[in-house]
Amino acid sequence: MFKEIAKGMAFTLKQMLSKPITLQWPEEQKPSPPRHRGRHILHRYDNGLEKCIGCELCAAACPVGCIYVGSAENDPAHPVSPGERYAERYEINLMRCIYCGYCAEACPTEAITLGPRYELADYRRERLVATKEDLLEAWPGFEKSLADNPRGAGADQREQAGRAPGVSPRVAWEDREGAVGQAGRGSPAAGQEGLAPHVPTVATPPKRNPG
Amino acid sequence: MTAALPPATPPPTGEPDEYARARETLGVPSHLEAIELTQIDDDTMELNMGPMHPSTHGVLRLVVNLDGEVVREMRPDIGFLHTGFERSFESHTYQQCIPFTDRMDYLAPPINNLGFSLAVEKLLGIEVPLRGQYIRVIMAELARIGSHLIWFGTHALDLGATTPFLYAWREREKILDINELVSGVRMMTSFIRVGGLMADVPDEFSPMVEDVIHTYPGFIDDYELLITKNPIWLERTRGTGVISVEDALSYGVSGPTLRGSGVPYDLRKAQPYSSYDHFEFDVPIGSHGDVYDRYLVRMQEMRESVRIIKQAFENLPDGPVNTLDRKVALPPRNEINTSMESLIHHFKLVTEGFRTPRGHVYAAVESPRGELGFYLVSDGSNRPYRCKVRAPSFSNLCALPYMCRGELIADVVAVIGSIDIVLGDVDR
Amino acid sequence: MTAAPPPGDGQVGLVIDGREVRVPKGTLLLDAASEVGIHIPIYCAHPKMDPVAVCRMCLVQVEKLPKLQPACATVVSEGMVVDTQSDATAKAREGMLEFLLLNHPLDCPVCDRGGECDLQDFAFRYGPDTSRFPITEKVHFDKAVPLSDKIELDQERCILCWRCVRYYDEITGEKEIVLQQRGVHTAVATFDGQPLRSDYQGNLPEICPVGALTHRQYRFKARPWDLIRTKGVCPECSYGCNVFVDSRDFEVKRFASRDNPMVDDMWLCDRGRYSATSWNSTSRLRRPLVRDAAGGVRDVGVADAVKEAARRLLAVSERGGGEVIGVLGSPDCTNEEAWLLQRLAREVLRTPHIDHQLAEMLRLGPAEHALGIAEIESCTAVVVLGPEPEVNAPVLTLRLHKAATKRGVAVHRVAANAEPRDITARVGDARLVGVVADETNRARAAAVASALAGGGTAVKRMTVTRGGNGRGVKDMGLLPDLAPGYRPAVPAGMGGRAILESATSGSIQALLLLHAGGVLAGLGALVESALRIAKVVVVIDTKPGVLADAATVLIPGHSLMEKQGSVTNLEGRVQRIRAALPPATSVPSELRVLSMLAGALGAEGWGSGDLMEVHRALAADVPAYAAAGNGGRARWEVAAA
Repeated sequence: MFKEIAKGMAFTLKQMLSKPITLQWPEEQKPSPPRHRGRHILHRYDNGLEKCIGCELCAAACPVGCIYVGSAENDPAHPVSPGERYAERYEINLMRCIYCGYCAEACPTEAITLGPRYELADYRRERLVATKEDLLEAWPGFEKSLADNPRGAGADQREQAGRAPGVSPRVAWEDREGAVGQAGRGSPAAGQEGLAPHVPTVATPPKRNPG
Repeated sequence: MTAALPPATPPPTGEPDEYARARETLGVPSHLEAIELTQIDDDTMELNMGPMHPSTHGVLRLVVNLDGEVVREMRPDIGFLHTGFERSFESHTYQQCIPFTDRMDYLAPPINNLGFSLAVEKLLGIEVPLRGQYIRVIMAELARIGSHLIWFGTHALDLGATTPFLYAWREREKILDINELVSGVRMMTSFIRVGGLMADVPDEFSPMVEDVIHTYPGFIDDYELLITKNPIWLERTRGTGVISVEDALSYGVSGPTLRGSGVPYDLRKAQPYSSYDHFEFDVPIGSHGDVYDRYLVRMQEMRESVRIIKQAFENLPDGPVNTLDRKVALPPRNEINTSMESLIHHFKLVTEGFRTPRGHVYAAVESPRGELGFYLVSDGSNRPYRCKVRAPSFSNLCALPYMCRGELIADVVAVIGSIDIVLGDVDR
Repeated sequence: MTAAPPPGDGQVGLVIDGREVRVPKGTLLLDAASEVGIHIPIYCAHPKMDPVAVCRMCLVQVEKLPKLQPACATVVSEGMVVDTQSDATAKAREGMLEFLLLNHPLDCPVCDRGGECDLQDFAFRYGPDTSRFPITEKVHFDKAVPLSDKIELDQERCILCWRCVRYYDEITGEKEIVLQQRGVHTAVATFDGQPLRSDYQGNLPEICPVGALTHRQYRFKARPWDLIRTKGVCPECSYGCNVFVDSRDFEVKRFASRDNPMVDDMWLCDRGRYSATSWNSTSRLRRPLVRDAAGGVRDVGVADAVKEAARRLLAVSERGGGEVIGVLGSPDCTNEEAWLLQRLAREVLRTPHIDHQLAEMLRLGPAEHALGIAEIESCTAVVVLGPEPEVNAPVLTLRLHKAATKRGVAVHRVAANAEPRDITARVGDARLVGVVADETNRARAAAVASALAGGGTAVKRMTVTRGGNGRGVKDMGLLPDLAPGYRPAVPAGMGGRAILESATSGSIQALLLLHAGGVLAGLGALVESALRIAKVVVVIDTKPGVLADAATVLIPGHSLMEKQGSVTNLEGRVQRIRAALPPATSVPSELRVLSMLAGALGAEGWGSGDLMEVHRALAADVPAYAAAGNGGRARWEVAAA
């Protein structure tokens, strides 16, 4: 009997001396692998145009129907995305989403991906329906801001920042923290001549004159 | 045993049954009538265990009829986790069903994915390339180890051993990390798809699997050191919850619970799927059919799983992981932007999915809990007409009252732990 | 395999994929195959058009013939053995699809047709799964070319099936679309670059097998998997075209044609088709209101509104009898509503003054719509009096064109006031003559019909009614002189205009108006003064306007997209409509409101106004409707008229 207990205790003591594997979250963050399926991100091209063309394949592929896409026609003078079609509304119900990644697989333009952000709790249901402006990456320099703030903008910060149309909460968060200057915002970035200085994320293009 | 107890005394005559009075005032919904607590005319008592009980491993309610401390009868009440997945399958395309299967037996999602995929692939008559099959095996066996680790930790915890629980979860973390690496999600991986995999494994996969192969046998030794010959453990588990071979077979018990009774029935050997016949491994069996033997079988199974992973990993062939049938598998992403045919196939597969021939198939895999079978009926459309899941947890749970009969109430916890049920799997 | 010997009954026996088929002589192979449920992919073939066999998609193997045959243009012959699943057929299909996809742009994600596109479907089902040609060598054409304010053309997506060109040649006869250039540069365009002027352009995107022709109205509005499809009937005119009401987010996104060979023959007019989005108007009445004598307005619940309406109606009728109440329905009512309204008026309110419009139409009879729409094709000659019938029921034009070009019917379009004598001379000898006239031209149509009749010539009349359910409300007796089923009403009351005039003069003191907003719109002073002077104005309507402003009791109604019931088209075909949208108001259906009103007025045994209950009572009252069921024509005993 004592032998068994001694053996067990010896093993336990051995474990006590080894390095703990626990992580001091949230101070310490676990790095996410590249395929991590966290909260969705809507991407842009380098010139600021949205990759999303509003084709709704993501909505069709979604097994739980948590994606709503309302498309509209691009105004050729001020396109939101390349081509004829763009997503006027893009909403994901994050409460219903099961993070299966089918939307990202379905997307023909790689506009939607599931990102590294996984801390999605919030106190209000309404805020868990992510709108297009919540999901769109800031323009330009999303990767940079991501590196500075790997957690992304929390939902609680989003409220403080207010929802300026077309400004991702991520940008607002960084402005507040002063972590990343948004040099490109408000004035045409290099190589962006001819484009609208700021691409509106939610806009109704004027009806084109037929004929 | 009952004979040793004092004779039962009938309730005083003329006194209204207090339960009847309570029923009258509170009202019992008719659907609970079958399971309601009743005062029986002898000195037994009905004990309600669960659905919120830490040792029922989920939302399982057990109505236990006790004669002193001895279990006389037991009625499991299930359905608290009923999700209607089988019904949901009918309104989703085959590929969309995969995430649902994850959530049935949520301790071993890849094996659920695999079972469903095999059924659909059988229906379609397609074969997954060898690399895909081997990676499926690796993921399935990792899931089996992960599931057994949870069983080990919680089972031991139920019987009073706190430390193994923490160790088991620490080791399972590595498996979850592999899940996260290959699929992006730690638990609900949806990694195994109809026609292959979500994607090929990334480069970091190799060192992580090698780590598992090298370290896990040692970890399992450590667990056994702590538990296997522990006198308390032996006392609690030996001779408890015995089920004979005949009874186990007639109850439809499968998996380690059946093998603990001494039946060497393992689907990986009995009807090898996904190239399991390429690997050398043993099917551990017990001889007494008690909790302890089931424990030994599972511990040994983990070692065998490591053995399978080692073989599959070392012989992992090159090549594609998905079926080459473009009418089933999504075309490569780079082709979507250059090939009209690929774009159309992508569009149709994503929005409508493939159609299967009419017919019905049954495909079963060996899940950590036993025979997990998917019976699919297809009407030729792009979604199942009917899907029935033969869930091992359900069949094993059916044998629980039998196993517990005559045991002490405290041992019920041990027996529940030893059949290793997942309520998501029971209720679906 | 051998087919049975010819029995000589005009039927031909053949074997398709091992299945024996017997079809009438002259049947096309494609139709014979679909008879036994064998699917053959088609692009250029169209069930309503003659075959051209240009797309080569339907090539099938026929035994003893050296080359594959186009199923859409091959007439079956005795003993034919056809294989639609052979390797050669599969290879031909794959090859054709590869050609079609060669220059097709990678537009699926942005194309409106994506998800309901024949090119996608067949490419997925029969086509190759990889490309052999580099994307850089695709030939490019113009994209998003507006052909008119309704239709957009994407030349790149076109697979040159000719359907649109043939549609204009065969179906409308307008010849507005042509193919220009040659070879790989062939493209669809309008003749001379003119915008399309046809009234039937909306059919083009529907016959187009790909996304080359699309609706501007529906552009990027929804995907097929977003849409909830409801079977409905176009409410725009009384022709009764069958449509699918496709809705998303509780808005009607489009009307799609639902082929009914007896009515629309799958063609819709632009007026009807593009009226779809008009049902999404948010300018709607939503809550019941009660206005007191001083002009004060109270928001009330529907029960209180009904009680208040009953109290006020009773107050005026107690003093002056039922005759002081005028009841107006409209062609926007369903049959059930119309029937219940006239019952309420005649049995409970005890007023004979009931109508559904202003123009006086006395002594109507079922003989006026004896001619069925499809029957036009079997007439010897058809006389159309004036342009109004075709203006008010535009799809009639296509039926007349079909009758004239494909069935050899002599179509005489004459002036609305043409002399019967001249018409008889023009028509000459004929077996069956159809006389088509607008309902405002009844007298002339009757004269023409009687002039034509006799001497071996049978005459059938078609009268184009106004409003969606113009025929139904007449059948249901929303007329001053006729009860349901064209039975004479005793006593006869005043017509719509007379009711309004009497309200102005004070002899009518109360008005009950059900969906009358459309009928009374634009009448100005007459309506305004009638509404001002009448003591009680009970309005059940959908939209705000003069009526809602003047109503003393206002109860919101459901629009035609929000309710169930039946409507009757101009030939007397009773067709069911279903709710495609949720109601814009929480007020229960008109049937329930009318039943509540009857109950509040003291009537007994009215039930709850359940649709089926009302419909059963209606069918019991009007046996012709019971026999018609859903989709059949109400057969009247014409002799009685």
